[in-house]
Amino acid sequence: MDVGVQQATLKKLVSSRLGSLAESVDEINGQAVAEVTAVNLRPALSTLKESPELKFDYLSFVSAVDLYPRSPRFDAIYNLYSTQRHHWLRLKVPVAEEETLPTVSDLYATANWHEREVWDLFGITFDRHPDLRRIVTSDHWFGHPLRKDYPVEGRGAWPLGANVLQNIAEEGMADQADIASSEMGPARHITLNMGPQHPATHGVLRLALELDGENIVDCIPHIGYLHTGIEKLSEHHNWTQNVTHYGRMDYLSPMNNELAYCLAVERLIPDLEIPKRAQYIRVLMSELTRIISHLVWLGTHALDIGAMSVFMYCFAEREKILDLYEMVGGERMMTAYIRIGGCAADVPEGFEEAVQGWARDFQHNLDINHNLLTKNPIWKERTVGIGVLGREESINAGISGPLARAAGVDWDLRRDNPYSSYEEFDFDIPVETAGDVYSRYLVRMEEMVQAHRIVLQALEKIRETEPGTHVSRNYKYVPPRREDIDASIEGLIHHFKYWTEGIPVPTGEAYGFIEASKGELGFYLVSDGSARPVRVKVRGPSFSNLSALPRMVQGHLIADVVAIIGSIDIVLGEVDR
Amino acid sequence: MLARILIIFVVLLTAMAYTTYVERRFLAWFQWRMGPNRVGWLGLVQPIADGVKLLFKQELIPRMADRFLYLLAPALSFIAAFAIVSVIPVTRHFYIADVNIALLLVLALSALGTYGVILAGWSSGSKYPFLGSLRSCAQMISYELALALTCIGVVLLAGSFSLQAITTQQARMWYVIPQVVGFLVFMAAAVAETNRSPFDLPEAENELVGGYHTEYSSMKFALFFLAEYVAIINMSMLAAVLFFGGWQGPLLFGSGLAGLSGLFWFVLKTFVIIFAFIWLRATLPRFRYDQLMKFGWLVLFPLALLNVLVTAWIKVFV
Repeated sequence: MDVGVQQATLKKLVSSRLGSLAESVDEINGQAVAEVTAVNLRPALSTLKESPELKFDYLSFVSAVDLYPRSPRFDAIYNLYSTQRHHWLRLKVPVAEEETLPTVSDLYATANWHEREVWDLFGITFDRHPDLRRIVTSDHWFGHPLRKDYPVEGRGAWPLGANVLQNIAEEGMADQADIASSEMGPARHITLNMGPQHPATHGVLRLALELDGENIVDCIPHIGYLHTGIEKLSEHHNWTQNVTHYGRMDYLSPMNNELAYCLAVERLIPDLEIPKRAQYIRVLMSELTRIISHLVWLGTHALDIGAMSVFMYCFAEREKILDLYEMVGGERMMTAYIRIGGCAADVPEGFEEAVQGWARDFQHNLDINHNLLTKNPIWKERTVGIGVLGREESINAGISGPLARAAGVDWDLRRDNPYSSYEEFDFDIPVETAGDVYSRYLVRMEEMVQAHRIVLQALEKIRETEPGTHVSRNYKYVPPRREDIDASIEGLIHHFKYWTEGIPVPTGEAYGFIEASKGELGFYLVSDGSARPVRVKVRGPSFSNLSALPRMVQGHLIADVVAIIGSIDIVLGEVDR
Repeated sequence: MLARILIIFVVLLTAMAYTTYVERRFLAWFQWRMGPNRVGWLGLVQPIADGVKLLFKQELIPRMADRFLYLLAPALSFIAAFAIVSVIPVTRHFYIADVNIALLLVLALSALGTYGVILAGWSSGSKYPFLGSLRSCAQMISYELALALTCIGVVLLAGSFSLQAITTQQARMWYVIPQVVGFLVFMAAAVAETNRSPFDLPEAENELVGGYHTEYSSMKFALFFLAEYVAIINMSMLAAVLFFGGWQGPLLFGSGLAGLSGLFWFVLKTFVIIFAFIWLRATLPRFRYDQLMKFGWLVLFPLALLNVLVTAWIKVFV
């Protein structure tokens, strides 16, 4: 079905199902948006979730926009998706500064962390939330940083006086005492603090574990140690500059982040056409990115379980792809290669041969790891049946990507909501049903093989397109080429406007998403027509995936915790943003 | 006698240092990288540089530690590991002591070494080492038994506990042939005994940070490190003595290679077994603590027991 027709029927369906629960149902930039009041929020969500034609079973994120000085001040955003019908819907709930919202964390488990984040960054309170604490900033932070009246440079020095440190220490003790006295008394259980400096937490993640012997009784993750305020910064840089922020988020798959952001911006600009060549280059690079991200996952995951050679083999292989990265982007990690309107440059001479050279040996190099692990009895004992998360549970927990596919959710945005011409490519989507660490391993291993297939196809397609068409020629949004600046006054004017004012992105809002290596990576953008975004919400897959960790580790041993963390494949840069 | 002790002590220390070097080089080759090759010719001075570095590191004793046990633990590990060498016959004439209960002594001392690990974890007053030492207790109980039982198989064949006697008994046939099951169980138990991958649970870096030695620094850490590598060498020497005829050359070339000294054969055999230790480390993932116990009790222990029974039956009736 044509996407436009699909959207129209979806809009009709949503407004008929919601009836008077919704104030309005619109289509903004090709995406359905319904506005509801705070009172109707929970009934509306239940209706959307239960209705058999809509089946919005997956909550992608909860966020908010500060529209100061509008009254009511905030818009709370609930982004919904149906993993069966594959359609999107955004709920918008206007909230005044003194108003509260009902929690939806009982309807969607994933809302728990997302609502905490909204409270932390915007100060919107959620009634009956089970655990409304700050999540990305420190417990001792004051103010809510994403409000418009909170200065981007902060509010002076962080008051880390002796009392604050003392408080932190005391609270830590109290935490321990709480956990220890909760069930069987302090004599029986020990509290173990894992991280933020620990070899297997993959960054600055802290887990407070309650242990009975080595069995996990309870697990409380603490995040935010790497919170850099990327969303706040994005509101203070122009649309073009912002690209550079996102490579630093999930630093193991930089081009994925850039692509998701650019797709979101391009959705905001209806008259910006992306040439085919640019789309194919984007597909090629994002599949290479998937492979490097999965290679780092495999290496570190295997290292956590004690297979140290795999780590080295994976990094050696990753190095070759980083060389390809360097060829196109000039950098190994923070490439900023994918730009609004296309790519920063055409692929260089010799690139095709280089990719083919890499592709020739890839399967063989992957098989080395297969031989070491896939049938290894120790590896299987360590991974089969560990960290199981069922199908329904994982959808409810907002889990996407390989983790969801390992639990039997047959959903891949590349196939179900194709972007960047993915519909022209031929690839399979591996799905397993067990939902344990081993099936996550199998899914990712197969994904690398499929990504390799897509890379070769993309290479074919790039060859068929005309060189030099790697970026749009719409100079309102794209820097003009040198010869156009020299030849025409329009070119010169565009050049001047582009670099002095930035690009005039039309007023509106859009959600751009991709199937990143770790799951659904999306950017929700709000524009007021100026050169800078009003709001950039990053929906990182790691954040939602990590929030299900306590459920996965329940009843396992410490050794399994590291296996499970490895299998989630988190990057703290993206979790904390 | 004193001269012999001194020679063995110095040689063993050097051997231990170079075992770390060899391990790092081999691991590097397994993993497509270079390994230490900068300090001295081919990186040969690297172990000495490491030793000097460890000597000059800052000493730290945690506030919550039990000072006496905390200081005793590394010494205990180290002494137990080194004492084992005293009964191992390097050649027909070169050894420190040939006692008639040598094998018992070896088992006793290697069990004593585990106390070092347990005490280290307990006295550090910290949670990760504590968990590491708990694991070590569990591991010791599960493996020591299987290890001792495989030794019994050899003792039954040789009719003596003296390692020198066991060696000379193998003039015609190495015990690895009649005792092949015993040998495999012995090797598995030896890897567990020395806390090596895939049984390196007490110090599992990725789970317990450093395990029992997390809170140790400087020379005290180095002593644990020394003890671990000396234990590897000990177990390899013991395997060479018990199953491969110690200093005796292979029967096949018996007379032809008589010129080669017993020392050559002994070192060669030991080295091959050390290499097997390294190879395992490069290949296998780590067991989980409960799986390891299960493996010890349900696989290794019954196998070792069966091996003893069959050996005894053969010895008596055949």
